[in-house]
This record gives sequence, C-alpha cells and structure tokens, in this order.
Amino acid sequence: MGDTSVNYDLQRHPLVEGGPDLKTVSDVISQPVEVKPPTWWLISIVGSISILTLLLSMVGYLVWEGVGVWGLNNPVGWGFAIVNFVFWVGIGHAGTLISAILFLFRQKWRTSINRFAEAMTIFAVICAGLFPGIHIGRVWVAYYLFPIPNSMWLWPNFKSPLLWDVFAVSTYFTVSLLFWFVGLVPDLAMLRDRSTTKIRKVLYGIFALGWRGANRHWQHYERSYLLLAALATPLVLSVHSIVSFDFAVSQLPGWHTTIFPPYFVAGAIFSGFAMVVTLMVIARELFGLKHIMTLHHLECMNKIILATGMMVGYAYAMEFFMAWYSGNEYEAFAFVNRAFGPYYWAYWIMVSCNVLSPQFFWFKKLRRSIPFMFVISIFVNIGMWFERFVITVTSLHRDFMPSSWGYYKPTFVDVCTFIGSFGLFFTLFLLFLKFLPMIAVFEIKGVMPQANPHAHDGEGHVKN
Amino acid sequence: MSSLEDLSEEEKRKKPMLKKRFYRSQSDLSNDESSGRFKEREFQEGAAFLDAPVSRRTFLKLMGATAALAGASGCSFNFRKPVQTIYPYAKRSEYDVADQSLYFATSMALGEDVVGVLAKSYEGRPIKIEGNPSHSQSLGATGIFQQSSLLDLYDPDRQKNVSYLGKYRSKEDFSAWLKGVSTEHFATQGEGLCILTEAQTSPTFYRLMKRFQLKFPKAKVFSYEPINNDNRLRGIYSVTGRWYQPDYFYDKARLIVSLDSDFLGLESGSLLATKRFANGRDPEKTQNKLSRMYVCEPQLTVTGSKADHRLAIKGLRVEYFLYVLVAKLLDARVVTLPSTLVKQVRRLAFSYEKEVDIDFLRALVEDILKYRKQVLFVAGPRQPEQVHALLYLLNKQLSSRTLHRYRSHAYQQFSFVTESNVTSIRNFAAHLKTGVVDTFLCLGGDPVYQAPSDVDVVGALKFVKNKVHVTLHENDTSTHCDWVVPRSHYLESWGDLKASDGSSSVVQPVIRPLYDSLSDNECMSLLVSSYSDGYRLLRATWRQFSNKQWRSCLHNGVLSVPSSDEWGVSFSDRGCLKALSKVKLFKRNQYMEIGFVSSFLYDGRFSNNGWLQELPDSISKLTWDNAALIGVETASKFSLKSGDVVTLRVKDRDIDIPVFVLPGHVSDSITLSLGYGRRVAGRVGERKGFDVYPMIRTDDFYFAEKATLIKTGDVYPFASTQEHGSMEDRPFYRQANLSHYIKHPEFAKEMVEVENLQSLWKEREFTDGNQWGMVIDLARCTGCSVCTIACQAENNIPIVGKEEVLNGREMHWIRVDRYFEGEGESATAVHQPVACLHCETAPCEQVCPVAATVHGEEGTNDMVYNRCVGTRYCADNCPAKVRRFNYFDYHQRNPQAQSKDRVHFFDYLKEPDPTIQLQFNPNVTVRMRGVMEKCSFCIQRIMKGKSDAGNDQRDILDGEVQTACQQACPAEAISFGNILDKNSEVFKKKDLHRDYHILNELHLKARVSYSASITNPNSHLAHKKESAAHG
Repeated sequence: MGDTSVNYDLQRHPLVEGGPDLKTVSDVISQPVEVKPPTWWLISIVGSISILTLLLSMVGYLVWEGVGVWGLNNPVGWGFAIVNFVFWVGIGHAGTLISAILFLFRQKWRTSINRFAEAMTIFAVICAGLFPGIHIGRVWVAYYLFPIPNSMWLWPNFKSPLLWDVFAVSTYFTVSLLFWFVGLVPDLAMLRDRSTTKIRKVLYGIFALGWRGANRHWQHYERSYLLLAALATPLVLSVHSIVSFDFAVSQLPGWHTTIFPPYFVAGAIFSGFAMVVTLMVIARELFGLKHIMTLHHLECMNKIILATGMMVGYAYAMEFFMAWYSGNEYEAFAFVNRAFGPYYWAYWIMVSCNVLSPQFFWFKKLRRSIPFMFVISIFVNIGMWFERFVITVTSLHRDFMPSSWGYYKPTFVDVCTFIGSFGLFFTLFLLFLKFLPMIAVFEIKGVMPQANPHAHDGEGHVKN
Repeated sequence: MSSLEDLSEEEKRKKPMLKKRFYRSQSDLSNDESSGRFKEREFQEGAAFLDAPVSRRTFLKLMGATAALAGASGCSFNFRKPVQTIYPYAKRSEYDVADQSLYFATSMALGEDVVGVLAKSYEGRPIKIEGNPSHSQSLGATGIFQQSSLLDLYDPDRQKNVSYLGKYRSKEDFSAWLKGVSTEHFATQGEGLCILTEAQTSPTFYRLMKRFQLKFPKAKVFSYEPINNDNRLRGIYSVTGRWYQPDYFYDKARLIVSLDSDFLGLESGSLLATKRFANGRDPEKTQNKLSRMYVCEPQLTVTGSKADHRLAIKGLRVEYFLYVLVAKLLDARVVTLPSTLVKQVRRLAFSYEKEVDIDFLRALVEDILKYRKQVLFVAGPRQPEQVHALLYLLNKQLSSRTLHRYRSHAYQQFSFVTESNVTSIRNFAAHLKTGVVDTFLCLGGDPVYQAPSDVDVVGALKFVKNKVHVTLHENDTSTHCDWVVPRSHYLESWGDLKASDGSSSVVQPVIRPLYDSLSDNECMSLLVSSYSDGYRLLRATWRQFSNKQWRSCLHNGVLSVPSSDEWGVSFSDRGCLKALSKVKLFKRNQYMEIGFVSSFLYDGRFSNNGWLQELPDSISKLTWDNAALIGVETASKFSLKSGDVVTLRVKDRDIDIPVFVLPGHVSDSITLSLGYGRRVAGRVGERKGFDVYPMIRTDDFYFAEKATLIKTGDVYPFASTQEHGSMEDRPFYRQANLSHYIKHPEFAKEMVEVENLQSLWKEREFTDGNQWGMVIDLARCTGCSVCTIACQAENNIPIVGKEEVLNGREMHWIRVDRYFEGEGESATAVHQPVACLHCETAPCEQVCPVAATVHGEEGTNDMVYNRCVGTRYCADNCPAKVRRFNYFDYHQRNPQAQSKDRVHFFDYLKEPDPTIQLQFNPNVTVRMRGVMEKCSFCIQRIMKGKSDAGNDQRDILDGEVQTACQQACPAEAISFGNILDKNSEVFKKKDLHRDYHILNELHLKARVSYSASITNPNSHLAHKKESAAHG
C-alpha cells in the first residue's frame, strides 16, 4: 500500500468524495427542494424576513423623512449607503469569477460551488443595487439617471462615473442573472421530471423552457453557456473597476488613485470568496453535502483568499508609498490621517482583518480547518466592509480645506439599513435553498468518474 | 399612409391654382430651392421627434395607455399638488411695474446707532435690506442687524394685537384707555406717570417728549439700554463739560491704538468704522502706507484679529496699561498734562509697570513718537470714564483735527439721556418702589430680562397699578404687564432718526402694518394729545420742507446732513482728575474677572431671529448658543474643555454655563455674551443659550471681579460650524507683512508652485460677453460675517437649527473661515470668506450623473435644482466644500412652520408660515429637500442686470450687477464684475500682484480669487516675535 499512497498524493483529488452513483447525487441535491423544509430553515426564514422588514421600514422612513436621517453631513456626503453598495457588489464578484472564469479555465472543482456562488452574486447585486437607489436625495426622480429619451433632449452626463456605475451594475446584474438562469435550465427540468405535484410540475416546467435533454438542447446549452461565460468574464473586471472609478475619477485625496481598479477587483474577489466560504461551510453542514462540497473545494478557495488578501495588502502599502512619493501634501495628509487620524480604528481593523488574518492560510492545517476558515472568512468580510468605509469616509471627512473638516457618525437608521440588507440577502438566499437545487446536478455528474467513458480503464476506477 | 406626404401632394395640386399671387417670402417668390422644402413640410425640421409617422395602431396604443394612466392617477387619494388660490394683482400700487422691485429709503435704529437703508419692495412686500449710499452711517453698507431686521418684521411670533391681562383688546380700546389715563394725570401734572424707554434717536419723539414734559412736569422718564456708550460720553464730558460724541477717521490715521474696543465688530458705528479702517489698510489706496494697529483686549474680537500687534490683557487691567503708556509718553515729552493729573497717572502707572509686556509697550511708544499727529486712540464702551477722558486728551495732543471730530449729543437737554443707563434703571426701580407710580409705560425693551440682577424690576412692577408694555415680541416684561401693545417694526412705520454725527434720516413704511400696532411716536401722541398717525407726527416735525423738498427727502432717505464740525475748544482736568482719584491702586492678584459683551443677538432683542441665531460667531464660530469663553491657559488650569458646564459665581450670584475654550482669550478671565437664554422669546429663540444677565450688577456692569468657577461635571454640546481652527500649513489664507510684500510683490502666487497643468480634453474658452468673476480682498475683510447673512436673505437660504448644525449641515452659501495663528492667549485669527469658486473646469460638473450642475455661457457654475436628484457626488468632489445639501426640507422643519391645508405625497405636511413666505425672494427658487445648492453669484441679479441693459440696448456697466454679499460688505472687500472688461473693478483687482487663487494646483481655473492680506507690524516687534517662534 505504500506505493499506492505515494501515487495517491500525486493524483488529482476526486471532486466528489465517497463515490456515489448518479441517482444518489440527484437525490441528495434535490432533497431539500422536495421535502418539507426543516425547522432550522423555518426559523431562519422568519428571522431573515423580520430583518428584511427592518430594512423596508428604514427605507420607508428614509424616503418619507429625507436623507438627513442618516449621519451624513457637509464634508461627508457619502457614508454607509455607498460603503454598503461597494461591499455588496464586491461580494457578488466571487460568484461570477467561480462560474465564468473558472469555467473558461476548465477548473472542474468549481462545479459543486458555482450555482451557490452565482446565486450569491445575484442576491448580493440586488442588495447592492438597493443602495445607490435609496441614497439619492430625491428617490422619486431616480429615473433621471437612465438615458430615457425625452422631449427636452436631456441626457445624463456621460462623463460621470456614477452614470457608468448605473450601466455597469445593471449590465452585470442582467448578465449574471441570465448566466445563472441558463445554467439552471437542465436542473429545473430535472426537478420538473421528479416533481410529484401538479403545481411544481407547472412552475418548474415553465422555467425549464421545455428542456428534454435532447442532444440538440445540450449543444445549444453548451454553446450559450460558453458565450455567457465569455461575456461575464470581462464583467468581473469591469464592474468593480467602474465602481472604483466613482472614487478614482474624482479629485479627492485618498480617492484619486490609479491603483484603484485592480485593487478593487482583487478586493472584490477577496471578499466574495470569503462570503462563499462562510455560506458554504454552513450549507454543507446543514444539507449533508460534505462529499460534494469537499474540504478540497474549501481549501482551493482559501488559497485564493490568501492570494487576493496579499494583493489587497500590497495595494494598501502602495497607496502609502505613492502618497509619500507624489510629494503632494494633501495626498500625504489623507493617508497619514487614515492611519492615525480620528478614524484610525477603522483603518487598523481593516488592515488586521484583510492583511494579517489571511496569512494563517499559509498553513495547510489551518486552511483545511472548518471552524478556523469560518472565523477567518467572517474577519475578511468585516475587514472588507471597513476597507470601503475607510476609503469613503476618511477621505471625505478631512480633505483640502481644514475649515470644512468634520466627523461622520452613523445614525441608527444607517446601521439598521445595513443590517436590514442582510435580511434581504438571506431571505433571498433561503428561498433559493428551498426552491432551487443549490448545486448544479448535471455539472456534478459531468465531473464524476461515471461521466468519463474511460472511467473503468485508468487508475481512477471507482468501485460500485 | 403618411399624412406628411399627403399634405405635400395637396400643396403641389394647389400651386398652379394660386398662380403665385401670394408668396411666403422673397425666396419663395424667386422659387428658391430651400423655400420649396420649407413650404412642403407642414412640420419644420426639428419640430417632430418621431422619425416614422405615427401609425393608427401606435396612436391607439398611446391613447389607450394615456387614458389608462389618467384613470390610474385618479385612483390615488391626495396625491395631487394642493390647490392654492392666488389673488389677482389687479390693483397695482403707483410706480409698481410687475416683476420689478422698488427701493424705499428708510433707516433703522439700534440703540443709538442709526443706519440708513434701502428696503427692496417686491409687489408691496419688503424682501431685502440694502444700505443707503446717501446715508452717512451706511454709505451703501449694511450690518448683520440691518440685514436680519427683515426677518423680525415677518416673525410670526410677534405681538399681534393689543391684549389686556391676556385678553384680546382692540387698538381703539387701548387708545381710549390711555387717553383717559392721560386726562387723569393732567390734573396731577403727571404725578404717578412713569415712562421707561429704549434709547431714542428720533427728533419727532423728542419733540413729543418736550410736550409731554411740559404737560406732565412731574412725570418721570427713564431710559435703559444694556449695551450703551455711557462711559465714553461721560468720560469726555468729565474733561470737556460737554456731551460730546466722537467720530474717528480710521482711514486717515497711521497708527490706531484700540483699548478693548471692538470698533470693527459689534460696537455702534462699526459700519462706517470698518469702511474707514479698510481704506486705511488697502495697499493700493494708501500706496503701501498702511495704518498700523495695536489692540489690547481680553477676548479675541474681529478688531483684535485685524491688529498688527495684539496684547491679550484682562479687561480690568486695560486702564492700568493706559496709565503706564501715558507715563511713558510723559517721559518722552510728547504729551503734556496738568501737573496734578501727571502725578496721579504716574502713581497709578507705577503699580502696574512691571506687569506690562515691555516689548509691546516699547514698540507702541516708538510708533507713537514716529506717527505723531497721525495717532488715533480708541477705547471700548466697557472701559471706565477715566480711560475715555485720558484718551480724549491723548487724541487732542497726538492727532490732528482731521482724525477725529466731536459732536454734541443732539438730546443733551433731556436728563434721562445724559444720565447713565445703569443709574437710570436703578433710579427707575427705586422710583417705582416708592409707590407713587400708578401708570407705567414701557416703550420697547425688556427690563425684567435685561436689568442688572440687583435691580428688582419684577418687585418694583408690583407697586404699579397700570403697566403698559409696547413691544415687538412678547417677552418677560410683557408677562408682568397688564396692557401689552404691539410695537410697529421700523419697516411698517413713519418716523425719523438722528445719527450720532447729527444727520437725520427718514423712517418710512414699506408695508402696511401687519398687525394692529403702534409706533413709539404714536404712543407719545396719545399721551400728549390725541392719536395722530406716524406720518402726520413726522411731517409736523419737518414742517420747514415744502412738499417738493419733502418728496426728495423721502426719496433720498436723508432729512438733514450734519452741519459744520464742532471741536472741543477747552477742557478742564478737574473731571478727569476726580475720576482718576477714585481709581483704586492696582493690587497684584490673580482674581478671575468676567467681562460682558454684546452678541449677534445684540442685547437679546434679536433672539427670535433665526438668521442671527444661526450666524456663526466671528471668532468662536458658535451658533445657537453663547458660552463662557475662556482662554487655553484657564482651561488647562481648571482642566476644562469646551462643553464642560461650570458654575460661575460672583458674590451671591451664580449661573451654570458651559465653557468654550478659545485661543486668544486672556487667562483668568471669562467672557459672557448677552442676549441668550431668554425664557419668553418666541418659537425660535426661547431657551437658546444661557442667560447671563443674572451675573450683572449695577456696580459691576461691564466687568465683574473675583469670580469663582466650579466644574459641575455636566457636558453640553456646542454647535460650532468650524471645529478645526488650524490651517495645517496649507496656503489658503495668504498674508505677508508690508516690507516682505514690497520686496516680493508676487509672494502670494509664489506660495504654491503650480506646474503647467493641462486638461484631459479641450478646455472651453470664455472669450466674449460678460464673464463674471469675483475678488475677495483679505486685506480689507474683517470677518464681520454680514456677507453670510446678506446671502441668506437674498437667496432664501433656510435655517437648519442647532441639531442640524451639530450634524454639520448648515446651509450658508458663503461662510467665513477662521484660522487661528499662534498659541494660547497671544493667538490671533484670520478670516476668509469662502463661497463657490465658480471654477471654469469645475470638478462638480464632471461628476454629476444627471448634468444638474453645469457651466453657464458667462462662466458661472449653475445649479439646476429641478434636475438634481441629490447624489451629493458634486459636494464630495468639491475641493472647497462650498456645496450645501438639503438633507431635510428645512423650511418645513423650521419651528415656525405651519401645517398645510392639504397634504401632498413626498411634499410633507408643513410649509413656512404665511408671513415668512412673504419674505422669500421671488426670483430665487425655494429649494426642497434632496437637492444640492450653493452660491450662484446671485444669478438672479445678473439676469436682472442683463435684462435692464438689454432694454436700454447697452452693455452692462461695471458695478451695475452687485452680488448680495458684495453690496452688504462694509469693508468693500468684495469686487464682482466682468473679468474681460479691462476697466472693471474686478479686472483691476485680479491684475494686482497680491491676487491669488486657492487650490490653483488642482487646475480649477476658479473665477473667485483672493487678494492676499498685507499687515504692517512694527519691525522690531515682528522680528522679536519671529525669533521667539523659531527659538
């Protein structure tokens, strides 16, 4: 056995552990959709809907009373809303990266997590999209932001990064949604075929778009999925680059930095992967999917977290270097003020969560420890939220003219709206878990040994 | 299918039939090709947007959708804009052209200060106050009180009707009652009749007063103003024997020595003083012969911040400093005083000599010797009589006649005028307590609130049967009176006023009295004869004018100009000596002193005025509050920080008040400002700040000594608009001393190295038409803050309240930045007004996603409120942070707002009070919540100027368009005009060496630039200071 164990190490790790047969895979993944929801699900959905209600009431209060219910003031015109927006958009990025880029690179380990991650993307973008919508002073004229033809020939200002944002985020959302939906079609057909009630049959049937699993269907599917993956790939880079333009294109010291686009993209992937880890660790436990979402998957993601975490760390260091190297007093002050000014605590929370905490993933043991990675992933999410807070608020609160310097304190509405956005996210996510297969069943089957016509020839023989 | 084609076919058919008998144009007649196209199209190019003709189906679809939407809109309840009835403007007043404003010359009194103003009237309602250029005390400028007096007129909390014991009475009831009282007292020669009045400066009032005193010789009249110039008047009287009021020409002096005088700030006559002072400090006007100013004062004032050398000194020590100075001057043999006086002064000087900052004194003496005959001494009203007496003597010997003149007080024959206010209020209470008074008439004021704490006005009032209070607002005194009569605001009454320089001006109404009110003169007429309206009373005073002359007086607002100067010819040292002999010898002690100063609420009469409540104090930048101002040293001694509540105690009096630590404040001294903490004031001003009148006693009216201070442990939040006082070595305010400026005239531009910056895209050229620009001259600006309030009045800027100032959301379009220089008590401050810079490459314009802020053809950065969705991106990207966001609908949040009669979705439930609505400038949009706003260069005034010039078919003249801030500025620090016009004021200013742009390194190409401030310090002292700073 000694020889085989050496060989085993060199072998690719099986993507589905335990060697289940194809039917078992279908059964296991469809089970949550088909059986009565477990108690924890009912408790969670009640919890998240109540948090969602908090969000709705906060938004209602905001619209009724005015943006003044937030803690914004004259130097600090952007606060929690923009921070939350960038935070949620960033989280969304992991999904697209996993599903599109890893797909194009033929990273087969993605199959067990891509559906999950894509769903997270959609819901995160929904949460993100909420904030720019409600943060404006007059929500009832939000449509001015869209290039709607009108009798006055009045167009939005195409020079404004905020407008680019509108296009970037809406494109991103559309493409992500399509990508997700297209990937869902074969599985929806499976659910339709497995359904025992009329309603389920009709509803899943509608969304399955008449999928019969024909060769032609598969051909079309593969082609369109590939195209959508190719479309979504540049979006991973472009969306967060454009979000970073909101800051980088302005001339505020601390915002006006050319490093922002790559830095934001790295940060987005960083936070997105952390969020996927957080959610996956819980989901695989609750649904008994440990053999499909394996430790190997999680380890792969932790490696990416480590890599992107260091990119972010590099960006932090480089910002300081450039602030000094530029010789610009305002720029230099902005960064010194970040680390040692009134918001020093936010900066150091950010650095310790984003740069220091992922360093533990150098150790294989820690990388593969479920409780440990869960904690680290939470830290990364906290850190990344603070990163956006640091960028947005500390740059604004002390800019050029000392006479206008101020301090921003969030109000309870700020905080509750942020908490409420998690309610929206988790409500959508729980509904997803209940009504859609959380893992791409047909894709999983594709990476199982059975899918390989030569499965019985090689070393990867699986005993039935 | 196409209707257009059908039509053109028809046209073609018609053509031969008409045989070209009619033609549309010359080109039509000549059968030009273009005209053919023109004729054939029913809708001309650009008239229709839809490329394809509308098909029947599309038409039906659109109609269907429209009908459905129209139906849907009917489903909602209360979603439509509320219906408001408008009243036709059918009955027009004379000269009133629709949409054109009329200006009426009138004048406003505040204490003994009279300022002629022009009230801008729009459709019969005054909407703005400007200075009257023909009035000697204004010369076109206004102060904060004049600007904000407009809001007082429309204050919905004003006393609206006559009330007797809280019940409604008509004005006729009151007139009849007063008539009865008058008849009653006529029999007893006025025994038991008593009047307490605010300071009066009206010739008509004194004419009636003369008649009153003739009719009721035994009646008593008292006058009380907590803020007054008694010491100055009486000090000069003590040496001259005449009731002289001085008039100083700060522009002609080369050396100004101010002893605790805030003559550029809140003292009377500050408008004229500011103008003169600024002229003397203008490097161009004086050809670099700037005046030099030494200031000795306890708390930093705007005067102190303009000083070249400032000595922080306890208020009660200022006079000792003067003795030492006089002793030095006696030594130098530049002044001669009677030997008795010399002895006394030397005796007093000796005790303090060692305490004086010797460098400061030596430099001052040196400069006095250098600028003999061009030295001007001025002392503040808080300083005792002997200081003013000595200064009179010094001024006589050390300055020429052109620097100052004295005028006899116009009403010196009235004893209640020459009697000091402190004595007057004391005697008043004592007189009431004798019980002989049965009818008491209080004209304005609020003695219950304002009297010194040892004068028991409430107790005294209990002895009186009939108490009448004629007042603008209900206040503490009115709650203790039975008859409360609304007093007419100056903008709604006839009258006349005499300024301290002897010129008389007219007060004419600009609006019919809003309420059933009486003016002081009308009240007096009720007492002396029968009711006569204000106009008849006024006309009777100025009977000498023919109707034609009278009309011209009303037009100009000036009734008489001062006649020839009066110059005190002789003086006696006896008065001064008497005063000096009473001066106690200085004992070295560390007693804490308390000084009382006027505030932006004056003595409290403006406490219900939101504009003044929210106007940041020039030095502390506090709004909505007063505080116990203490120095940095005192704060560290008692381990206090701003906001800590302390108990202040002097003898048996104490108050709890939070401290505010202010650099530049002398140690062991506390400054309290009057006018806050009123118990009865109206919805805006009630219980704002802290009432400090309880600390005032008749024997320490201006300063109280031996105060103790105990920390209570409570903390009070202060709403300051500028928390950060340091400029962080960033070159926003640029200043140099004169010698440096002469050597390096371009120093201001050289302070920042600006590379050859290039724009990313082709920059727009602004080469023709009117290109508006502004220059703010920091050498002239004193930081008085009138620009802020003038802008607020002109541009319908709401007040936001203390909570919102605390949140950092004040709305002022032009703010005055204050930066401290130096440390501790020797710190001083500089002031820099900042409004929108109107950058040609405006950062805000690039980032607005909806193009709501765009550049005008004339170089203005314009806000389109209708288009603004409120992303606040522009404000984030504005480097000068001048943009202001309506986080709430502040007009509706105003405590005086009232409920709407109909509710509209997204439009709230409230609206400004109807009277407040009258104040709004109709040419400026009243902004709703959720939109950004900022300085517009008073675009409505630019438009008016263009329209006027266009009607006359000419170009706009330089100076024809003035911004509100520029027009109000007493220092004439703001120039505005066409920067392409080489003859314009603004071009000349921009052409100066000392012109600079802030944040120029951002390639803003701002239209607003600054002229660097030039100071003129004594070279020895400046050198010493510099080496101390480096050592």
